[in-house]
Amino acid sequence: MTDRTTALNAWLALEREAVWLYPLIGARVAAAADRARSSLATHQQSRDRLLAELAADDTTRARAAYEVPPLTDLKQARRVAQDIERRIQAACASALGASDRRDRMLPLIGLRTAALAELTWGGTAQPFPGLD
Amino acid sequence: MVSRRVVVLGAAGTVAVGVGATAALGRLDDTLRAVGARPTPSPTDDDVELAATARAEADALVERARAEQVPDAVLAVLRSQADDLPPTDRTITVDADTFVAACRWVAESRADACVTAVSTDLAVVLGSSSAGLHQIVQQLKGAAS
Repeated sequence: MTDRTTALNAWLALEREAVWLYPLIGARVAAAADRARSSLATHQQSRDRLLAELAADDTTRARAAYEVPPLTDLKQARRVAQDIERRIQAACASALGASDRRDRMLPLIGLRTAALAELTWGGTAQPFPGLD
Repeated sequence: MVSRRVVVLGAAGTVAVGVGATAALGRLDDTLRAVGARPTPSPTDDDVELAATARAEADALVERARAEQVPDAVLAVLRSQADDLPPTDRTITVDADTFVAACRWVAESRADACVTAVSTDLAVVLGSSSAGLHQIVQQLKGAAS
């Protein structure tokens, strides 16, 4: 398995977590339901893009459930969503660092997408998303 | 906690990677080592050029942000980006009608540079800063609407 494959699998694992997480956010916090639906669609696309990229090299499997902190109000929903988006940014940065020039576009777009998604959940701009 | 990543294209011609504190050499370095990636020891002329351009663009955005009195938080992000890129004497004029358009233009320039850079470390820094500029664009557009 190449370095890049390992990094993409780490990213894919987080996309699978996000695809599990956002319906939970939408179900538990009505005020976040629309935003959660939109985020779910985005992460489903990212997951599918990674699945296509990895093909037979996909070594991850979605878990039945993931650990989630208390999630009963909008503030908590924002915190949980920002956390997953930040972890995805870090994974994308790692994938970017493991990619040759011709392969950088996928993690670059993923990093930007997750950075913008964090803002939709109340985050603020950072100098170097994924690195701090 | 700040774990800031800095790429310095030093006078000795080496790409030094890191930040102030040893501990802050960063999760990325650890990750890069874990996946077997290594910094490019000697920057190519093209990489030196990319880094200098990025710094000049960053300085131009800071100046414009000061002139247009953008929110302090945005100015802080732009200053931080500029400070973490290697200094240059070069100056660049970002030709855009609005500050938001200027940020978007530089964000795209950084993304292009990211996929062009030979050094993976420089590519990561450029790609990450591009994402940060896209965040600023969205934040300012949100504030205006």
